[in-house]
Amino acid sequence: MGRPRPNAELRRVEHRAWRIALVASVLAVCALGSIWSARPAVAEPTEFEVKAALVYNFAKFVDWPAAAFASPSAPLVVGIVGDDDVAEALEATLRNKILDGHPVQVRRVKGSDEARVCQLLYVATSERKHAGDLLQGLRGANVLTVSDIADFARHGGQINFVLENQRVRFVINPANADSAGLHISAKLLALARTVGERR
Amino acid sequence: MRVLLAVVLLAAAPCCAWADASSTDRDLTAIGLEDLMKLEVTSVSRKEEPLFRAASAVTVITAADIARSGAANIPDLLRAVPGLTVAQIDANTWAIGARGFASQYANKLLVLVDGRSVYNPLFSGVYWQLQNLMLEDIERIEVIRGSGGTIWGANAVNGVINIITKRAGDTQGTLAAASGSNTMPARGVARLGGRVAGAGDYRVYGKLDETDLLPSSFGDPGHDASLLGRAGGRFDWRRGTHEEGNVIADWYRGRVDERNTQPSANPPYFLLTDESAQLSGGDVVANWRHVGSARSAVDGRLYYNRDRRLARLMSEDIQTVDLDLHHNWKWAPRNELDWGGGYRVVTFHTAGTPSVHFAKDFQVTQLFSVFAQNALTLVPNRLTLTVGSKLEHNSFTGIEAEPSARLAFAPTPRQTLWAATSRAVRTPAPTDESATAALADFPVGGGTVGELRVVESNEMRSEVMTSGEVGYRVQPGPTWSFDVTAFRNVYDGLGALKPETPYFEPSSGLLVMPADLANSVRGETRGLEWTGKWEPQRRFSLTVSHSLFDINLHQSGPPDPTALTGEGSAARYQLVVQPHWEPVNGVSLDAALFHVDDRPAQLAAAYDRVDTRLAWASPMGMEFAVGAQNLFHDRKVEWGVPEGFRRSAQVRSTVFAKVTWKP
Repeated sequence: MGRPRPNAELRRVEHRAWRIALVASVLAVCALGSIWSARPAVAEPTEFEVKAALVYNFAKFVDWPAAAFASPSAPLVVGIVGDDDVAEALEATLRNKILDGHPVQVRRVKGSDEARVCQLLYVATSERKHAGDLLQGLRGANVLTVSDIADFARHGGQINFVLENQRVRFVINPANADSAGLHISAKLLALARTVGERR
Repeated sequence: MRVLLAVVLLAAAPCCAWADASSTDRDLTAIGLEDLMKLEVTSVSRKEEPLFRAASAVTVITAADIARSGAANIPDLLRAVPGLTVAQIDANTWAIGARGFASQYANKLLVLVDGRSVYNPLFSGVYWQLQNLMLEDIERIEVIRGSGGTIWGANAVNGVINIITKRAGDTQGTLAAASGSNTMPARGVARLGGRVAGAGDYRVYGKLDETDLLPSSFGDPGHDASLLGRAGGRFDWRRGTHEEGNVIADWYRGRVDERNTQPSANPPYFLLTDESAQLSGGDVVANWRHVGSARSAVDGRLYYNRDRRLARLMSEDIQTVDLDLHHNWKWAPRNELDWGGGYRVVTFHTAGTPSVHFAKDFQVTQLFSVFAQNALTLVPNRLTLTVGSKLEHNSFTGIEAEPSARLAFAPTPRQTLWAATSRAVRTPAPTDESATAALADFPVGGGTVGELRVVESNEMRSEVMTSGEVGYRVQPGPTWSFDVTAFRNVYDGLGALKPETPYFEPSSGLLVMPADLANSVRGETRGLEWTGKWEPQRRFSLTVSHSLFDINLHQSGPPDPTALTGEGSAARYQLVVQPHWEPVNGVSLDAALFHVDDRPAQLAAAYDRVDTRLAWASPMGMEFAVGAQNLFHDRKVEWGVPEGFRRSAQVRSTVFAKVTWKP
């Protein structure tokens, strides 16, 4: 297959020049980038910071039965099972908060026995395979269950997040919340998508 | 080149140190509920899925990457993955390999679509033109470089490409798209997704692709056009919280033109034959998962696959039935066991010609396999040791073992340091054992014509690879991530032709010079692959990948000049830079710049390639995209000496336009 081979020397010089130009531009972009990101600029909020702030709002707009708390100033325990980015953001977001006189306490839990003691349980996406079991173990407990697992509210959970056009939305299953003895304020329901049978 | 690499890495390090000192989350609770829901957010995960902790070199091509790339087929999507060689042979065939050994019949790379192997066992390669799935249906493509033998089995010697399609629940509603380019005049897809209340989600699709011919390597018009139609669907079901599964089916039919060179006993001793191959086939796959408890889950898969190809040179009809079971079991604290087994039976019907045929027109092969792998957490959240092996029994070489050991260390949640060693095997295919192919005819004096002919081999054993790899992954903040891998592989028993005694064949009047396959080549490969991603804000990102590669092969016994082409067929380095920019809402500008070193054995000089795409998403669900692919590399041969009979073509620069409607 005889194609004339180009002048080897010329080709080598050409390609060395291209390589140098490419590497120089990559270095320039890195340098610019590091200068730019060192500025105390207000970066856009991350999806996980927004979801963590929404979890705080869920706790704000949900009423627990009186029996759920030992006393009016007992802590509101937020349990986290598993690990994901929202779980990490929750710890920063809920630090030192007080809701309705209850100081908020964040606790890492394993399994439904430890979770029953909480008022709010966040189920991380790492627990996708085991969520069903966990929810079974929470039957009858007054726990608000929130997760970032897709379709969580359709399969036994109460609230899950969805992303729509780069904005965070949430889906509530009012029937599941009812079975847990919780009352969700109309304001929260109005902003949510609802799933599940209606009573 | 190594000096250059070191300089780039050193320069990047201070960038990492400076970048984004505020890597802790902010408290946004002061913002009211309604305002929180109006915020536009970025989604760079700090703790990626389990793949961040994986003790192997993995690159994931996401659905967003696929949409932005403007690539019309899977091979073009794979070009940007470090460590992969992707070279287009003609309009419908590619030579693709991981860490060397690229070929039209690349037998050291396993390719799966939703768990179904699309590797053609007759020739040990992938017919890439048949993997023309709807790109819009792909959730992600995981490319694992390095041995996948322990989990995936024989033939996953240098890599596994795992193409995973979206769940039907994620492809609801209607989608229709049409595109055209100067080399692919027409392509249309239509898809419909819905929900069956109480049962599950479904989708159905139809697709038509027409490619135009490319110029031959000499510049005159080639003969490699094609027209392929494809249709299929998927149904996903879930029962309670413990069981789920899906059923996937596809069907295709079409025609692919081929230009082949065959030897001829008369001067000039070769014939160019143009023909059209008629292709048809399909598959049905059923997946099922049962979650027993928080500690146990079982996955099952059963599939049937049929590929038929009718061509004058060689016809084939291959049917596969495969059953796999996999149990994931946390049997003790800090231990996670993955074990299972599989059975596969493949039937081959072939009809050949004097140029190429098999000893038997009908063959059946069976493969039994079991595997077990245990992940032991030595230090919780920090150190995990995974040890396992696969054992297979195949029809050609009996039992093969593929053990591996992998260690993953996470000094902080944002870093993973890993090391792995494994043994992988490439079992012989029917082409190695029982194929006869005429390679070349030439005059030997005295009016006699000699023929170099590959004959059946009884001696071919498996090729064995032992590898050692190390890698490091870091994500210092939400805007930066970096991933580097280094490896050294040692190969024993690579197949090459071994000349036998020539003899005169009265029936054809030819002096036959037979050669059979023997495991006569040893070799080693070494390389480095790294990828850096920078995403300072949602609208802009930059990804840079670089791979370095070195291969040395040695042959024992009588020399075969083609045995060592592997050395000159692998580029010593590849560099890819991919910027992405959204200047205003709904407008997306993407580019990919490649520099690939030469492949002297394939007559391909070092080259640069640029792909670009500009897209605008209108509010009514229509997206318009235009772009150019393969700029600065028009009419160039990427793989000049293909294995087999196919003639190479010149790859063209293309300009395309695409309209997508998704109400």
